Amino acid sequence: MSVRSQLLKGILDGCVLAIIEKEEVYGYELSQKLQQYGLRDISEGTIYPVLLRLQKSNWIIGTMRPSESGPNRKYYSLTAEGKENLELIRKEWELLSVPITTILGGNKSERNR
Amino acid sequence: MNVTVKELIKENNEKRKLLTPENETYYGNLMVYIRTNALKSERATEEVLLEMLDHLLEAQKEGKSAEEVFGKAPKELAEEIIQSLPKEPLKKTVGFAFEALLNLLGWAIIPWGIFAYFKGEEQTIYLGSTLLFGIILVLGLALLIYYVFRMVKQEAFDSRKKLRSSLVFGTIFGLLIVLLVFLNFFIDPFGPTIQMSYFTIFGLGCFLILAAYLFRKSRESQ
Repeated sequence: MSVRSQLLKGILDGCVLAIIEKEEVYGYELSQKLQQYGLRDISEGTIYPVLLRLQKSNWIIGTMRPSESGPNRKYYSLTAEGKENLELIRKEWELLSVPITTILGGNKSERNR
Repeated sequence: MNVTVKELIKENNEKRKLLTPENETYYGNLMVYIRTNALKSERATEEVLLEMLDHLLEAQKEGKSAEEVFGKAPKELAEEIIQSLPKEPLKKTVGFAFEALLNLLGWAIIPWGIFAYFKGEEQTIYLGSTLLFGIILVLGLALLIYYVFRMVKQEAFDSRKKLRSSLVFGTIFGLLIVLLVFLNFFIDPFGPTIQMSYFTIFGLGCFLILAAYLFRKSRESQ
């Protein structure tokens, strides 16, 4: 596993929740969105275990319904519990990302000294 | 809108025909592997399989291969999906096992009824030895079914093991038959006895199969 996918693993659930919060999506659409945001090298298949886990925790629910183009699709939306947890993940990420950016960036400026 | 599990499987079968041969092989292996999971919700399993198939079909339109979409390690992905699937409620699992048991006993009893008809006499049934036979038959078949599931799972991504697995399957099956024949000849019937006419035996068998059929219908309509 590459360094990037290892780093991503813990936070991918949060990213998936955040995308679903904006609008209801189905599997393929979700993977396209993740790629559009620049997460290009995660395998599209990895979203399915994530979606299953999030459903099991009751953070999202999937509903089957016909799509605009015809066939049935499973659309995902956030539950109240999912929203709460997304907020929690956002806060935690902020708490981590600021110091980590400083630490990692700081080393660089020290090196440049 | 409520779709039954049966309809999900049917849709999957139809849509799989639209895959290119390479994608069909990749997806087919993944599907077989995920389906052989034990005790996971059948509905959730079929839903995620259909979602992944839809995903693959859309990607295929853009000229992508299954390996590009789902990665080079289908077995790891399949394992992760199985782990993330919700458990089947115990009630459903027990219902399924009960249905299988009714079917098995029904199909074992009907030939016996026919046999008794041609002999044209009342059958004396020794409850003790009949029960023993029943238990051995059920346990033996349960072992075989378990083995078949394991075999299918192991072979999903590796066809080299096929011959060895069939040999083991044949051996277990053969041993089961030999054991039953052996017991039939060498163990004297024991236990309390009841008399039954061919008509009763045959009727009982039909009743069990009908009951299993009704069970199945009610399970599938959920």
